Amino acid sequence: MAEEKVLNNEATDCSEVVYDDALEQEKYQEKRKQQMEEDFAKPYDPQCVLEVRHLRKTFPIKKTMFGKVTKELVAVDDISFKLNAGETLGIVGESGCGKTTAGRAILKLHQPTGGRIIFNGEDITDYDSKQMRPFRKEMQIIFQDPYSSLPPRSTVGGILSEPVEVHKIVPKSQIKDYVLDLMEKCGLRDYYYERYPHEFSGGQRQRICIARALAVNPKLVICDEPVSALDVSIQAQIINLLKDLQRQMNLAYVFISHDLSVVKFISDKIGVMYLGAMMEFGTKDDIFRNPLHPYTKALFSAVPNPDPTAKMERIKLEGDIPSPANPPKGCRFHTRCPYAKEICKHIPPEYKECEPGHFAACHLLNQE
Amino acid sequence: MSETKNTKGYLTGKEIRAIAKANNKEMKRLEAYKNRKAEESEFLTQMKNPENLLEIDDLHTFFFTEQGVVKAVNGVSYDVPKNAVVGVVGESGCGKSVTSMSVMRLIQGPTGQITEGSIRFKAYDYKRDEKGEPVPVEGAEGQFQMEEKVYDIAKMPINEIHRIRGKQIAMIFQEPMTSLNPIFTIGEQLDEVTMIHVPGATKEMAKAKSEEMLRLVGIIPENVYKAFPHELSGGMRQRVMIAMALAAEPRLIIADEPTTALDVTIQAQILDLLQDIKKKIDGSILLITHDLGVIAEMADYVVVMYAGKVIEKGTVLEIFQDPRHPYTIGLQKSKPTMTLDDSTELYNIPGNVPNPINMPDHCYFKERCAKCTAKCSGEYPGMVQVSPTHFVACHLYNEEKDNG
Amino acid sequence: MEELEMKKEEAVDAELPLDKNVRLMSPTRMVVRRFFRSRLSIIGLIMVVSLFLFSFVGPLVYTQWGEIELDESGKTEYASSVTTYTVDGEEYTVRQTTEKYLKDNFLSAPSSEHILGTDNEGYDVFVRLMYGGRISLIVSFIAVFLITILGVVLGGIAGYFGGAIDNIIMRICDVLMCLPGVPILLIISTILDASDIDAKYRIYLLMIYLTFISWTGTARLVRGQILSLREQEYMVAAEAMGYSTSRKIFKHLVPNVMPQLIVQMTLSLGSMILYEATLSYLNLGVKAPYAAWGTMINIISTNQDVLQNHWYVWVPAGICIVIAVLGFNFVGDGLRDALDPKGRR
Repeated sequence: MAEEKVLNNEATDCSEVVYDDALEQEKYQEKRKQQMEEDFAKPYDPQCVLEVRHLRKTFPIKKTMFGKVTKELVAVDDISFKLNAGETLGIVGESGCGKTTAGRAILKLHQPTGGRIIFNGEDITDYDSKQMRPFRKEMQIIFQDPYSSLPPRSTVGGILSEPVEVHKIVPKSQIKDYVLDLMEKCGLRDYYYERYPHEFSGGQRQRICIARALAVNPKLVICDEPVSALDVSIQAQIINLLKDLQRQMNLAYVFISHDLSVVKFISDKIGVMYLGAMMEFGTKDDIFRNPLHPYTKALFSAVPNPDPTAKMERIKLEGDIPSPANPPKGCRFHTRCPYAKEICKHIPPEYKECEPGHFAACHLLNQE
Repeated sequence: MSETKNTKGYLTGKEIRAIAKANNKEMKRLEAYKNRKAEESEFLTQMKNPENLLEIDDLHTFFFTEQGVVKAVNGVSYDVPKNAVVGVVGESGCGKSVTSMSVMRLIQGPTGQITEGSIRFKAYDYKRDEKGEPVPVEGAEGQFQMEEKVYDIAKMPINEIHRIRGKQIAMIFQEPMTSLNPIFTIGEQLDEVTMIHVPGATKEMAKAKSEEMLRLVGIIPENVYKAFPHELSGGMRQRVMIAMALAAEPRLIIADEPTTALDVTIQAQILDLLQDIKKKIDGSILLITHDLGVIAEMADYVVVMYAGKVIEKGTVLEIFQDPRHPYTIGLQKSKPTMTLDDSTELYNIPGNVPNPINMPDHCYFKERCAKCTAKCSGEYPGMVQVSPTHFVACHLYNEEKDNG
Repeated sequence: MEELEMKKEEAVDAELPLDKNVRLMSPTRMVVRRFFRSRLSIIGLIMVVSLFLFSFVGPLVYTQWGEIELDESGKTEYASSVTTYTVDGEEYTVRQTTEKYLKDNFLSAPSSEHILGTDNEGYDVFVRLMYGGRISLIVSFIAVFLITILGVVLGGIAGYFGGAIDNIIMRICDVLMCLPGVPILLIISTILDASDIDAKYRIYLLMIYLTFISWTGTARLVRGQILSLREQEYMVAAEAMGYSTSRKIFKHLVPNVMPQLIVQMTLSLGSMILYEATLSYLNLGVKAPYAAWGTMINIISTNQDVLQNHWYVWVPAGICIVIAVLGFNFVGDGLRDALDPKGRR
């Protein structure tokens, strides 16, 4: 309510200002560059498992004949966060918001275009694939689709023992015992060892995927929508399993999902992404008790409530998600934002700390 | 397994041949039944309750696979009343989609067959003379006499199915990306619906109708009529799909996971649209989804399915406020909600959704059920009525009834 | 609460029977079953197997004649001519019979001695069919093997690495596909004629050339498959596991291309047999006195008499070629249906 008031007061003032888009853009870039330099110079936090500073990933979509990139798609634009051991960071967003790209860029499955990735106090951003090899067993990934993420022509035993063998986790003679032990931990029966992935249901396959990721004793696991393709009753099992394993192995998770309720259940910190940029970031309590960004609020209210009696007021978002190849100028969200004002159409809002540890990027917040 | 040779539990060659032999016989018989020619009178029937639009009664749809008979729908009965939204909820493989595909007779033969049961549907169809031609209204060109008839869809030969498919019952699919033909414009695809289902329709009529439908689903026709499907976003395509479904003015719309492939904010828009349409059209919606939230928002009646059987049905309030079957209860508890306290472990139903081959005789949920009693090892529980509209298939309530 | 917990535990264990209740088909059995479901692939298999037995086991069993063993039992050829003279209005008819003794028993009709008779030189047709089959099968197997190796390595590299390497390899493919096959074969054959290379080996040299121009199809197939497989999440997972490139290509990608590859190999066996026959027919491949199906048919191009009167010399070779090509194609199609998981109903 408070914000709406603010909005009404300011609306008249803002409309008279004329914005020079090019100039504003330049100013904005200048400021951002400065900020980045400042941040890059900061010392690494030795406690963090993962620290991401101004991560940026672009994909070329148009090239001239000589391979010069004339147009690019900014999949991830300037995201930063810190993650400690045993913590879970949830990243929420709709399709095309860059959350999957962000996850893969952190693992360097996509080479980031800009920014720094600091893993365990070591800057791994510019490492090539050979230098990355020892780090591979420290960071793993679990995918959304349990059907395409397992090689169809290997047995479960083969899938799970291969990484153990390659990374020499245990001596060769103990591999099978190690794998069977791991399978038990992940709720897989020992007679699955010689079976093929296609014989299993989605939930069991996802367990195999989790087992594979954990086979190398990682410190960080990127969970890319691990439960989205599963049935509700299986979802709960997998979430509990992930939580359990986190407690046992002191894992750090980056949990990527479009499902707010799942993210809420598993995360300690949450980042909300929209069209490549972080809209809001904070602890779970910050985000759920006191969401600041209108997009976060809209997301919350869009989730269908499984209680037929509760008819809540929904913040309606009009229109479709713009294409990430052509993000709107100014604030990315202004085309769908119910509170958008003139300034939002021209100047990208600053991503700043509104409360300790709670970041958001919205012009409405500046006016208070 | 008990046999030492067959340690992996695979089927032996002998078993496979036996399965194939039995399947071939059944498939041939059913395929012949499906392709037969029949008089209209053979598949005309009466509704049990005239208030209903669709009555599915003891439907069995089996898939005769090489690994055995998959009883995808195994004795399902539920009704769709007039002007109501019935939500069918269940996990993957529970047969909710196969039921709706059976209603449309879209089951892929010869493997998939309706083996038993009836699907009674009250159609508003053209009156037909002895030759099966529509009877025109005297004096008005391009108009035909209409009458209400009850078809038993399960008994209809496949070449008569055009009478209901698309015209009386329309379907909205899950994948808006693949359900539109990429080489035709939206307008062409929409017009086609009218051209096919309205006898004597002209191009102008069709276009006018298409534009009306597009407006109904909240699209400005000028922008979209000439567009190709790939030019539209997922949400827009789903709107177009809904418009296509509505174009023939069907009495029943089957929406099979209409919002599953969409983002939350777009899903909210489509749900609002469906709510809106529900009020505008004279017909019912059969909504199939795995999302309890969607069901709670949309449906009037809810059917919960598990492993090819209906395990509970009732009004939306009964199912959500007073669920009886342990599966329904578990399903609702295992969905993390925004209001849930997340310090504890999430409730979960152990085990996996059973593979519907070689189903045991006892309750299919027994292995995963926390409230299982000795009686559960007995035969499959029958439907127990707990209120005039609320039914549940569980021994727990049988006992209650026996005791009190 | 505790009770509930316990019950839960029980329930987990109870899950086992229901799970085990469902017995599936083992993957191999599934493939075998799908293969044998089609009648055509069974026919194809029978054709191929019997050809193999015929060509490789046949000569061991039927040892009456060798490949280049002439039937020197001799042959008597009779020629009769009738001449009519008219002397003083009276007609005289002179019947003249010439008896010619020939060293070789050529063009003899099928008999117990020669199952399919002898050809115009006096070689046993039946035995030569067997030896011809050996040549055809061996040559085409070697060619297909080489084609596959080249195709997998180059296609795999192109598909996996992409970019400039891909571009180079694919452009080489394009160039090779532009080369007219038969004219170049003629040229090479002429060169081979000029340099005296044993008639027995020239077919191998020609097949090496064929390999050189035919690997492009396999390479394209492998590249296409790898391009699509590379996007699969299990490949991303392999990347995330830090596996080496060769491991990723040869342990993860190639086994998944195998089904398509096997199909392609079987189908190209048929076309290689055809190629071999064509070459031999054009007198470019296996040269007399060695036998090849193509060479055996080649007789008719110089000898009209054989074409018209001695079917048993050339028709069996033609039938063998047809059986081989059809057989391999049927088997290939059957394998395609059996191995392609999308074909599952």
